[in-house]
Amino acid sequence: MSSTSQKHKDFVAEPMGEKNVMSLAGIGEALGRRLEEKGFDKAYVVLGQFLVLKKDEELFRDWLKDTCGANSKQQGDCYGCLREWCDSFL
Amino acid sequence: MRRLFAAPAHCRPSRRTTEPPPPPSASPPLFPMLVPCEYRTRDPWWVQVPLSKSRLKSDLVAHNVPLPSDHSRKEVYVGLHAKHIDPKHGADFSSDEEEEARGGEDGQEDGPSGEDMQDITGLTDDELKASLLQHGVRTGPIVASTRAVYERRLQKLLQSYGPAETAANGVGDAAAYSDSEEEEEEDDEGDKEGKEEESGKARAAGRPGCWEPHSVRNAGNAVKSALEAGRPHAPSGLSAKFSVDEPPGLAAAVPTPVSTSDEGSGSSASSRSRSFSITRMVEEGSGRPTSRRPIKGAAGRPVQYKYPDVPPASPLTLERREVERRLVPFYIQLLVFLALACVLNLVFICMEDSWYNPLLPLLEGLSEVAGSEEGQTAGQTTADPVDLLAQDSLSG
Repeated sequence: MSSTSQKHKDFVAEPMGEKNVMSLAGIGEALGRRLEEKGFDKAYVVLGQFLVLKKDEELFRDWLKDTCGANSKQQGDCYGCLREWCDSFL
Repeated sequence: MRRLFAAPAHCRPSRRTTEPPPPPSASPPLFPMLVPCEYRTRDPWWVQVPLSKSRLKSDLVAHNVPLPSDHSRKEVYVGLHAKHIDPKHGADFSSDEEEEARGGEDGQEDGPSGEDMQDITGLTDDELKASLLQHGVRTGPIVASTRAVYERRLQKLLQSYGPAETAANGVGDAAAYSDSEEEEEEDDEGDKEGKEEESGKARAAGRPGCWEPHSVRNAGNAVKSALEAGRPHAPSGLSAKFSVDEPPGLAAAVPTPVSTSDEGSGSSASSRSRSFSITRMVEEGSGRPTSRRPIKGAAGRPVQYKYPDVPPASPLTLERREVERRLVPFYIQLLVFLALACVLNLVFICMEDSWYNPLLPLLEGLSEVAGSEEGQTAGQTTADPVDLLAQDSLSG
């Protein structure tokens, strides 16, 4: 949950627009490809899942692990970045 | 819907032996108008129960079946559903199978077992939501993409809460277990009594550690034995007192043997063989380190619940409790309020009484002073012309 990564800052700094799913913190090349295969090609699709799980950390982590096999740190990064984005833009 | 529940039940052959199928009249199909009798045994089940496309989709997702493209027709989904989820149903379908399936659906909310996942996947979205709510989980929307997550959550909850839940319900498996346990204990006890009777009290010294294996259940057995002893139809030799080998732990606890028993134990040659009152043993047994904890609620002890705060308090209630704890108690508030009211009332009364006395004269005095001053100044300013006029007239 290090909120200091450059990717995190970049993502949280502005509306996500049409950003790719790989622009999410914690989602790298491999995880992004896996997510894209499942239809989660844009960051806002993941945001939708995040919201439909009611921003619940445990559920979202569980889902992310199940969907793309993210490890604990990656789950935390992705969750933190989406939550912070929501805090400032939702 | 019933047909849909039946799907997972078919994968559970073990249930068939345990649960007798209910009579067909007991559970009529939910959609009698949609399921004509002549189709029931012949058609595949998805023809009989109309499933929506979204329902099929969520089922497929729940079973980790890759979905076809978004614009596929419903037949594609139905085919996938039949292929991946329930091949047995898609195949030949006989009427006796149907009954068993219906019988199996009764056990959907069972405790944790290998069949849990199938039970959960058999639930509809609403039922899944309801059962999660029973476990204190407030779910968001359960849709195709979130269903898998919630199913896992529920399964986890069932696994963690499972034993306690079934015990709390007191029905089903738990009841069966407790019944069997009781029977076992009773049998054990009966065996013991039988042994006592057949072996006689003279033989008692031969088994010094007789109570040791049962020490864990001493309290429970002893209570029972005491009850048993109180009954009039107890065995003749054991009517009021039991002559049992003394447990090693009791040797120190009961230094003086209570030899009130009949001739059998009194004539026993062994010094270890002593008779003691069962009630005494119950008292001592609870204090022994090896004995098990007292039975909750037995012998007048208060029932202690394992989880005192059973209903999980929501953050709002916790917050409210916190606030209430910081607030001044109600009666103090009332007292302060009354005192304030009295003081204010007194002040008001005093004000009313002395309103005109001290203040009005003061005000009048002030106004008088002001008026006199004005008059003086006016008099001074107008004094000269008046005086002049007066002097004029006087002079004129």
